[in-house]
Amino acid sequence: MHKILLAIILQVSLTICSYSQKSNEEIVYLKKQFLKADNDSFKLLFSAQLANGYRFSNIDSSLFYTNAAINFAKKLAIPFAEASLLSLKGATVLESGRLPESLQFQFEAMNLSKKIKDTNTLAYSLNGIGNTYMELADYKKAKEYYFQSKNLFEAVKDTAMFYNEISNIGNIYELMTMPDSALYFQLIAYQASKSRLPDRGFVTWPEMMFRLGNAYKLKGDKEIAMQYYKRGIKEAIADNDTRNLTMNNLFLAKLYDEINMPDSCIKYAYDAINAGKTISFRKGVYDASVLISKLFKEKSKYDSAYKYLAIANAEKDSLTGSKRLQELQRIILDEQERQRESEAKNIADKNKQKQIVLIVGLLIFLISASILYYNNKQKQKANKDLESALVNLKSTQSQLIQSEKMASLGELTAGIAHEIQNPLNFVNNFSEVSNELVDEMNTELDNGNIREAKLLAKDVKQNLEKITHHGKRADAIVKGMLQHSRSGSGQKEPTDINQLCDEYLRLAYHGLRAKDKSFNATLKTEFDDTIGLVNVLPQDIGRVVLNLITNAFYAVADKAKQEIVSYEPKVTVSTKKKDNQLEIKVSDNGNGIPPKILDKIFQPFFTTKPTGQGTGLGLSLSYDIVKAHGGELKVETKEGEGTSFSINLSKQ
Amino acid sequence: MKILVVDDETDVQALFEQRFRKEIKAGEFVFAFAFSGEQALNYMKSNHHEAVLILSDINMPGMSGLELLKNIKEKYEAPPPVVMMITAYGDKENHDQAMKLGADDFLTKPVDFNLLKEKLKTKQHD
Repeated sequence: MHKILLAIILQVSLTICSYSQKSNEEIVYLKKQFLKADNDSFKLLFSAQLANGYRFSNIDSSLFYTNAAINFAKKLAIPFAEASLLSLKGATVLESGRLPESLQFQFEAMNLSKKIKDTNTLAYSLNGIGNTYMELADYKKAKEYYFQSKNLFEAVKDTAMFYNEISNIGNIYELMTMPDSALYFQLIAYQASKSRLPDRGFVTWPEMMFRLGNAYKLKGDKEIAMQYYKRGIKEAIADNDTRNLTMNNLFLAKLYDEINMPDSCIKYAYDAINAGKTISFRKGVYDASVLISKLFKEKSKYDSAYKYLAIANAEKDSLTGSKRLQELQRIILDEQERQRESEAKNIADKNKQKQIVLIVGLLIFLISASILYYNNKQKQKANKDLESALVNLKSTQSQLIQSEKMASLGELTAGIAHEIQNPLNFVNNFSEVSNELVDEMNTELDNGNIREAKLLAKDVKQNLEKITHHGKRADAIVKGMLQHSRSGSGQKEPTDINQLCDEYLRLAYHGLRAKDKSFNATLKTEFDDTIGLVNVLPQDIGRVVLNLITNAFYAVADKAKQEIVSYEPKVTVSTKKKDNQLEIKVSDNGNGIPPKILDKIFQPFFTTKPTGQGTGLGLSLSYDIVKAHGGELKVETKEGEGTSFSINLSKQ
Repeated sequence: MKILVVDDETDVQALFEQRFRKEIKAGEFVFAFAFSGEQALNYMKSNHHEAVLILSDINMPGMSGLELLKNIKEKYEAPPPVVMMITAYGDKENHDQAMKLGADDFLTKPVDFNLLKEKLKTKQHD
């Protein structure tokens, strides 16, 4: 039995050499032997050879015999045979596009090989992992594994597999579109194998052919590429290597497509599909079907195009399905790793936390004890301090009110300058012109033209009226400014509310324009002329109106910054008589006030403006002023549409 | 030469009529007045190409002088009327923007009527 076992070991380790193809006669013979075999050792030997023999010609049969062989290897407790077979199984399922299973089998093989310290099987499993990563298009990882296995094969002096890995590395460089490296590695493998002809060298010869073809194609040498593909087809038929027959046909078809020879392309793509289908080589069938469908479409043969597209789709479903699963698996594995790490860290952190909590608790106890003691001592002193603080607070409050007044005065200054400039210009111009008119009038009088002189005198009189008007206008502005800055304690007086509103609207508008020249807005006034004079403190109500208008301008200027097409900033001031009540309303079409801050806007020091730009006292003072007049200040707002504030005053 | 003056201050009408009374009498200049940008555009529409020179304030509520300028230079081609802008804020920003929009000249308040008269006369003889 010992000798037989040794033989099995030798055979099994040979079975996964990728170049060992079997002819039909050999397969028939092996099947007979397998059925005849009356002990497990022989069954393992024959099933393993059958698994390998079917690998490139019938994937399903290959898997059947692989599973059988694995069972026998387990039963006989020959771990490295099991590892080799697992690796073979991984390689076989890879051909049918089942990537996650492939990777799983290869990792099992790798771990088993490491456990039993078998360099040979370890090298095979690393090769298998490289193949799977290549299919997953993770070329960096694939290259890493190929280099590892290449070194191991060199160490165990497996020349065939060593050159096989060299070719694989060349293939990866081809996929990474690095033509010089690709050709370099492929030529090493090719030259080494050629010297060993006619017994086919170290590598799978038909595969070597299309890989060389691909490398030459990448370099731009299509003629040579075509020769290698054609040679590859011949070699594949001779070797009964259906997989590589598919590949060579497919690559040749792709080349014909590139050089615009559709008929040749269709022929070889068709051969590729037929070959690929016999061994369920999904990826090959998929690529060839897509290609052939595209060509039929270009020839306007839609029936055929559709047929091949359907074939492609059927293959694609099983390909992409497994890819997604693979991704999911990878994510889950990574996640588990991460969780393990963070759990270990958590435990360490928790221990540390417990210590910190203890220390902090102790500190808090000490601190509170000393605070209690200190507090007791300070209580009496604090009472005294509180009294003086209250006095301080009261004076601070009146200072704050005054500073809010000055702040809003600041907002007005530029507007006032502009408003005074205009009437002053008129005063200057009309007086200059009148001077000229008087000179002319004297000339006319000298000439005895009394009628002309009288007409000129009429103009002069009209000009003097204009001068008075504009002089008064400037005067009113200055008076208003003084009134605005004066601190309270004034008397209520009959006031023209419409005029007051109009004045402050203009002042606020020009004030903002002076600060922000790009700002513009439509001003609309809807004054009720029947309201007559109302008994109020004009400077106080003026301040409220100014504050509301300034806020409205800020709101529309803010929305204008969003550069909404067709947005027209608009501020409306209206007055209305309602029974014995008077309503002053300031509306804007800005962004409105968000509901979550609506209940805060009348609170002192609440502001939405950047620090330093608003005192946050405007609306709070306005609210107090209106309340002191026995009135109400109300707000209505709709987000995105605008806000309107209304002051309701009693007419008495 | 017909000149359209655009300003939101209505008294500019009386002022211009007196400052240019000799020229008006001699039939050298004819003035029309508009008190907003919108009014000015309406005037241009109903009196097509009559005004060859427009004198506009920049700072007006509603349509600003700059918008009016843009409108005129875009709408009235071959040749568009001469547009002079007037503003109280004689700053670089307004000036540059007016020039970018195709203003032919730029005046600051208070307007120097002697200078304006000279400018108008040169334009007349161009």
